[in-house]
This record gives sequence, C-alpha cells and structure tokens, in this order.
Amino acid sequence: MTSPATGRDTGPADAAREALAPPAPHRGRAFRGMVAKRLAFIPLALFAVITISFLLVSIMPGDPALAILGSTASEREVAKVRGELGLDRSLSERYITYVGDVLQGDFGRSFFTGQPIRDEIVKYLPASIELVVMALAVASLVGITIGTAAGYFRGRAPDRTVRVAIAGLEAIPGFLAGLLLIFFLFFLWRLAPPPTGRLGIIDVYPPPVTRFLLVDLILAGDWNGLRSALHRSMLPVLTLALGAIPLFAKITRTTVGNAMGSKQIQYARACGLSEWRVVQYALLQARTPILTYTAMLFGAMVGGSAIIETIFSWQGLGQWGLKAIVALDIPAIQGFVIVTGLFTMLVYLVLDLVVAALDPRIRHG
Amino acid sequence: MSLHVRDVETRFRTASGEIHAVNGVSFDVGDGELVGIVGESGSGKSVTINTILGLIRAPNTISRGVATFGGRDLIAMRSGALRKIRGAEIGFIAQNPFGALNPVLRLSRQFENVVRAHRRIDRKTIRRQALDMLGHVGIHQPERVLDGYAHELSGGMAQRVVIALALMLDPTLVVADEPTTALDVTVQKQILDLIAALVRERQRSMLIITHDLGVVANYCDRVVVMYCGRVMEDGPVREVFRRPYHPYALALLRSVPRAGQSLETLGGRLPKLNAEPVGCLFRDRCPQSKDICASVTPPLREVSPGRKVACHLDVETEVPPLVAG
Amino acid sequence: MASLIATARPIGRHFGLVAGALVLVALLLASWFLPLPYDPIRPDAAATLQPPSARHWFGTDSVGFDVFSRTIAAAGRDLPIAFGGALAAALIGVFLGLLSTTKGRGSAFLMRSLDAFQAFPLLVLAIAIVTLTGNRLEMVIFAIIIIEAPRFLRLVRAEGLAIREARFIEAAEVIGAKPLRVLLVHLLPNVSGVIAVQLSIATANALMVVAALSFLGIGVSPPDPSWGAMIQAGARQMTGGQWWVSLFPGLAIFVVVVSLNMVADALDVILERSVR
Repeated sequence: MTSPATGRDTGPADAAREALAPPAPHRGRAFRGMVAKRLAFIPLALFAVITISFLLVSIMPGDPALAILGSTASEREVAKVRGELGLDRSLSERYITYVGDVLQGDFGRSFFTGQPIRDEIVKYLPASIELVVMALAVASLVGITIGTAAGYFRGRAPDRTVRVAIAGLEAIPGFLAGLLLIFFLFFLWRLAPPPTGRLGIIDVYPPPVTRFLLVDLILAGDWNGLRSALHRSMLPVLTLALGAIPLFAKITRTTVGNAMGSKQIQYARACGLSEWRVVQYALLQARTPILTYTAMLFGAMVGGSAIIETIFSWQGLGQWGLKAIVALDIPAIQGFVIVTGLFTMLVYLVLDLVVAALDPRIRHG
Repeated sequence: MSLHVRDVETRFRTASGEIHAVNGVSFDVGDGELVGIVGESGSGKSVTINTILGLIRAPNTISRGVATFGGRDLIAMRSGALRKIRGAEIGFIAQNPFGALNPVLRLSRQFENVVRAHRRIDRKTIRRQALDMLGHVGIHQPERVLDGYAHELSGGMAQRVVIALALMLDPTLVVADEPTTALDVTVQKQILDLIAALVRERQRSMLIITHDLGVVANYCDRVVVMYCGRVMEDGPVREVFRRPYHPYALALLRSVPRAGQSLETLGGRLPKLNAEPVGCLFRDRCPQSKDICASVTPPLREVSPGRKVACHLDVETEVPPLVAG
Repeated sequence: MASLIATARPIGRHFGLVAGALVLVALLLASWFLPLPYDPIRPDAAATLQPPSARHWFGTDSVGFDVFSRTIAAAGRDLPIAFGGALAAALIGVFLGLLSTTKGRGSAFLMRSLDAFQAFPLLVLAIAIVTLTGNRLEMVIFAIIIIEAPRFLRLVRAEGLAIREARFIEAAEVIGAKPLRVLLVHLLPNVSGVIAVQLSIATANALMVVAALSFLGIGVSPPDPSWGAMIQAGARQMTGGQWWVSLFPGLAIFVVVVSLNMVADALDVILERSVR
C-alpha cells in the first residue's frame, strides 16, 4: 500500500496503480487497533493514579495521625486514626490492601462525616460536570469566534484587538474575576442572584434521578426551579468561562491563522469559494487541536474549578475536595485525587476516539 | 479569453525591510494559446500569478500594475468580483493535489462547493456533471472516486481530480502552477498530455508555471523566461529554444543535459531582493555584462516580431548561439 | 533630531521589555524601600472598611488594615516567591528536558510518566501537597515546581529534538564529543532563548499559583501581607459593595502578570529576529 497519510506515492509502480485500489478488506482495522491500544493504556493509568494517591499520606511529615487530630488528641484517638490509615503496618502491606480496596470501589470513609467516600463522590461529581460543561460551552463559543476572527485577520486590527483582550483576561486570576462579577452583576446591577449555591431558599430540590441537578429538574418538570438554577449558574459559569476563553481563542487563532496560509486554503480560494466557505475549511483544519484543548480543559477543570466552586458555594467535587484538603481528611483527599485523575484519563480516551472517528484518514485506514 | 499583464509589481513589507518579489512583469496569453512561464524557484513566477488572481492575503503587501482579462482589470477589481472569476472563468490546477484537496470532505462535497460558489445548480446535476468530467479526465470508476476521500487516491488520480475540478465550470483560461512536480516521473507525462489535450480540444488558453524546460518545449506555444521577478525573454517556444537571445535564457538552456554535450552550470547565486532593484539583475552572473547593466534597467524590447528581450546587449551579435560553432 | 529618533527606535522596538521590566523593578524597590503611610501588619481598629480617600489611598479592610501599604508590602513577598519558584522549575525542567532529548528507553518512560502526571488538576494536587506537608512557605515553591517544571521539560525537549536534527550536533557526536558535553555545550546555548521567554511566562503563572494558594490561606502566616490573602479578605465585602479591599491587590497581580507577559512577548520577538 501507499502511505495515504503522507499523501505521496513512493513506489515506482504508480502507473499500474492508476486504477483505484480494490476496496480494503479490513476497512477500519486501524481504527479498531487504535481503540484497543487506548483501552490497554487505561489499567496502566489507573495504577499510576492509585499509586500517587497512596503516596500522598507518606509525604506528611512526622506522625500523620497527630497532624490530623492536633496535639491535644488523646492517645486512643491517635491510635484509632493510625489504625484507619494503616500506619501500624508496613508500606508494602498497606499498598496492596489499598489497591485491592480501591479496585473494589472501596475508598474508605471520611474522617469527618463518616460517610463512605464513594457516596460523597457520586453526590458531588455531577454538579462539577454540569458547571464545567456549561462553562466550556460558553467559552468555546466565544473563544472560537474571536479566535477565528483574529486568525483570519492575522496582523490586522481585529487580531490586535483580540490579542489585547486575551492578554488582559489571562492576567486576571479566576477567583478575582468571580469576585468582580459578583460586585458588578450582583451588587451593582442586580442582574444575578447572590453567590449562595445552586438553588434559592424557596426552591425545592428535585428527586435525585441522574444526580445532575439541571437534568433532574427537567425530569421532574420543575420549570421554575430550572429557571432559578440556570439563573444561579450564570455567575460561576461566566467566571469559569472567562478563564477558558483566552485558551480557546489562542489555539483557534493560531490554527486558523496557519490554515489560512496553507496550500489547501489557497487552493480553495483559487477555486473561487466564498470567504465563508474558506473560513469553514480553515475551521475544519483547526478542529482537532480545538477538540484536544476542549478535552484537556474538561479534564483539568473538573476538580480544578475548586476555588470557583467554593466562592459560589456550588457544592461540587472541587469544593468538597478542597474542604477535605484543608481538613486533612486523608481518605477523602485520596478519593478526590483518584477520581479527578481517572476522569481526565477517560476524557482523553474519548477525545482520541472522537478525533479518530472524525478523520476519514484514520477511520478508513 | 486573453490575458494581458502589464507592469505588475509585488512587494512585501516585512520587519527587515521591503522585499521586491515581482518587479514590473508584462506578458500576454492570447486566445487558445498555451504559454509557459519558466524560472528558478524564487524567480517570482508563482507570486506573479497569485498577484493576478488576488490570492495574496498577507498584510503589508503592495501590488501594482494591470492585468486585463476579458476587458476587466483583475488587479483593480474588488475581491468579491474577482472571486467569481476564479474557478469559473479561470480554472486553477494546483501543484500538489494532496495539499490542495480537502482531506476531511468527500470529493463529491468538494465538487458541490466549487460549483455552488458560482452557479445555482441542484446536487443531482452537479453529481452528473462531476461524474462526466471525471470520465473525461480518465478516471475509470468515477462513482467510487466521487464518494471517497482524497487520501484513497494515488498521486496521478488525485491530480486528475484536481484537473476535473478546474474544468468543471468550463473556464476560458486555465492556470497550472507546477502541475506535475509533486508526481512520479512516470505519471507526469500522462497528466501533462491530458491537460494539454483537454485545453486544446476546448480551444481554451492556458498558463503553465514550471521550472522544467522540457514541459515548456513539449506543450507550450510561447515561453516567458523570468528571473528575480522580471521577464528576461518572451517569444515563441521553437524560436527561443533554437536561438535564445537573453544570456540568462541561454544559460538556462545550456544547463539542460543533452546527449553528446557537456553540462554547463550557472555560477553565482540569486541577488537579494530587499532593495529597490536597479540595473539588470542578472549582471553579476552574466559573462557578457557591461557598465551600463549596473546603472540602467534594461526595458523589455521587441527585437523581432513576437520576440522580446530585456537586455542591453545587441543580442544578435553579442550573445553566443546555443550550440557553439 | 535624527539621532534622537535613531536612539528612540530600538527602545520603541523593545518597548514591552523596557516597560515591563521597569514596572517589576519599581514595584520591588517600592516594597523594600518606599516609606509606607501605615504599618502593613498593624490594623487601625478605628478605621475599618474606609473607602479610598486622601488618608487611605486604597481604603481599609474590615480589620482596619491600610490596603495601599499592604498591597505594596505584599510585592516584597509574592514576587520573590513567584520568581524563585519559576527559576527552580526552570532548572529542574531544563535539566530533565535536556536528558529527555537523548535517545533511549529512559526518555520514553519519562515522557509517559509526565503524561500521566499532567493528567491531574495540578493546582489542586499542589494544594494537597502543600497542605499535607504542613503548610510551609517553602512548599509553595515546591508546588510551583510541580506545575511549571513539566512545561520547561516539554519545551526544552521539543526545541532540543529539533536542534538535534541539525548538522552541527550530529557533527559533534561523530567527532566523539561526550553526550553530556553535547547537551551542555551545544544544546543548552541554543535553547537558552526560549528558556528565557518561558521563564517570564512561568513567573507570571507562578504568581497566579501563589495568589491562588494564599487566597485559600495556604502558605501564608496571617498578618503578613500577600495579594491572594488580601483578595480573600475582601471576598465577602464584594457582595456588600466594598470593592476596594479585593480590587487593589487584584490590580497588582494584573499589572505584574501583564508586565511579565510583555517582557516574554518582547523577548520572543527579539529572539525570532536574531534567528532569521
């Protein structure tokens, strides 16, 4: 076979190959191979994530149990926590038990609430996903639009404007942006509700079917509740989106800008395609990098939006994890690290599959 | 339709100064004529064509001159109007089909996009016309090609698709930018034969940009020799190839390997184009150069009917013939 | 007149570099030597939540701290930590990056581990590490290293691999230069430009990390001023309209980050020009 990906014929028998090659007998074999390779990576990644979360306890200086309980704790309490942490056993013994427990879905119980960590994760993760999905939707829409404009008009006024805007947005820490939005949109203009959680005091929480609040509200047919929840999502979503907009805008500006100078676009223009169509072609070229960025952001923001969640009392995984960290709730911290790490891996897996499925060169390899 | 290019200039303003890529190029492509533009890489051939077709987007570009096509000046034309001419009245054949065709769109979609950019035709008709055209360019299973992607084709096949796309709207002028350099030698001749046959059969005009003198000799009526963004010589292929007048054209022809002759190479290198060019740009490499060559830019003058040369020498007597003796 | 323009031109070309560096140096000098109107660590309980005025230029916070004095004083703490962290990250990242350009299984393994490592929300992991190790200031620098060193590593690796293809490295290897010598003598100088650019970007990022940590009360000991902690101190006041408590330290972060990015951009332009 020729190498279709490089688009060049190499063999001397090209003339003979002038007739179209017969249909490949194993259409999609490359695609399936790639999927298999990616799936094989998962156990390895899982192992790495579990190991890192396990090692977190060992980096604590001195006696972790004493650090957690404070110096006023009684000896019995200390002994109990030491037992729960397994500090009375050897490192390797502890590690094997830990990996076994985690693989069975047992993350232990929180030191402070006494709840199984798994239940807490199931409770808090959906809220974070909802927040991040909404923020990414807003950020990608705005970021890709202005990035395309900048890339298309590279070196001209729209490009310069966008670049100044990006540089400005990038220099504002997320938590500060959140506070400024609270000041303007809540305090000054009364456009947004106060930053006190996902529903108002008078709103009723819907029965937890999917545990995604917005979905559950729709399922319950509670339209007033949905409106209230969306209204209360405005500030945190906007805050998180403001942080992601520069990233979308930058990657789009670069890829679209480069695409505009490519042979493909030059040819499209030589064929007389309209500028709208040309921009569409350029965005098709920019598709893969933009998708990659979206996935990276998605992975990093679930958990990474901890501070924003805390400011707005969003009750998501990040806020829960941050609380656990500050309180030295070791099992919760470990569960948090595993879930966020694993979540990112899954997002990357999905990304690879989507990119492959979208590209006919891989799909039909 | 004929194309008349007069005094086209293109400059790029960069951080390190202006680059004078094209410095007053003039040539004509008559009705039904096949014209070849030859020159080394960097001689401004492609920039000239891109300037005429309005394909240069870089900011800080200055384009001047006139390019009349069917009575309209393409360079002065608004970009929207020029876009409607590209693809419809002027067909374009790209150098590397895999770089040009869209890798993620089915070819049928690409045919639709090109046709629909100019005419309101329904999909079925476009499909029928595309199949027809693919047959014309020698593709045996047009259905399967049309429903597939560019990467499934061999280089020669892909270039045939590009040719079909260029001819879809029956343009009166076809521009081909190095149409075969990306292809295997064995396929090159087939493709060139095909292009030339299709253009002649329809009595269309054609402009081929190439660095390959063989292509010009075999397929073109007239040749335009470019060097450093200027036309050095312009005339009928047979005459120029038998007796080049410009020392550069002579050097170029002598560098083509011929049986029984030793190969000559051209010494020196291309001058830098970042200052306003004065005098003959070939003077540093020219064995016959004189004092005047450094101070006065030689105009492109007609030395005999249909033959133009930009040289201060008395070309008949001072430039040696191609074959010594 | 003409000579004036001639001297002004290079400064104009390097405007970002000069302006950015001036702002940073001025801020640092101010924090060390400027006589502050009020003691940054002694609050005035009689003057809480005063809006900006002639007496308190940036107003006061809910405890009675003078926001201006603290904003200036905090530069003396936050900037050195951010720069120190970025520098440490650069040293480690560049060293590992150079090693990773050598052929062999080790470098493949290194890159794989890096992929897995960077899959975490690193800021949160950093917060966890700083907290678990007892909330000490030097651990903040360690957190910065965790976040920024991988970027240096990747950058140096990418540049290094590109340069490795170049003839002169090949030549050096052929004539028998020792691997370490090739890395240090031939590769390092050629990537030093991009490292300089990345160092100013990393310092900006590091400042954001320092701010985020101290916003959460991590790595700061309370009365000491730090921009992040000051923003936290004003967080509750935002819903009440006392914007100045958070805004001015936030503005300080903004100005510093913009300055650092201006320096990075200017260096990038200068570098690109000298290469071409």
